[in-house]
Amino acid sequence: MSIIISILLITGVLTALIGTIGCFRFDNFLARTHAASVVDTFSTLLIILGLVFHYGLSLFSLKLLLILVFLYITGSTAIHALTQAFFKNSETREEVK
Amino acid sequence: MSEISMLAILILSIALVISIFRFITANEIYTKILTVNLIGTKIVLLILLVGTVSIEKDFTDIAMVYALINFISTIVILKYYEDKEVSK
Repeated sequence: MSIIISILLITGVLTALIGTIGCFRFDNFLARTHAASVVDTFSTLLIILGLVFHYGLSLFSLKLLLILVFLYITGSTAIHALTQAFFKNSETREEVK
Repeated sequence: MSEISMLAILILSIALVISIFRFITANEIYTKILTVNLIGTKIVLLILLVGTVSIEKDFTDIAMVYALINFISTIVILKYYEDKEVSK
């Protein structure tokens, strides 16, 4: 059980690191939103799943799963709104085309 | 478990420092907002990981409130910049 927790936590944290470095390396804004979305969804899923395995069946696990559902919905919505605002701006839209 | 949590906190802190540098060096507003969102998400994960190391384990509520405030702040800043013409 400890090995599963370790693999989930370390993989999640390394995914967060890779997403952050990708946010640095990509030169296009839309590619950068992709790198940030990886941190928002995949890394969050792995880390919170590892913490749920650590706490077992308890109230903390329920709260952690609630945080997971909340982060999934709000993270995707925030980056969607950001991209929409990026496209509504005329200067940046010309830049993409 | 404690050592694994410490290692995870260390790597996540390095990622946090890198994203703060990204916030400083970004020259357009959308990348800055994206980076602030990224920092908020990673701080939520950091709070949850610190809760496993610390003696008090009542950090999940704080993490939930932090995620809520992060989402609301991102949406409100975008509402402001959506109408305004951004000067580069």
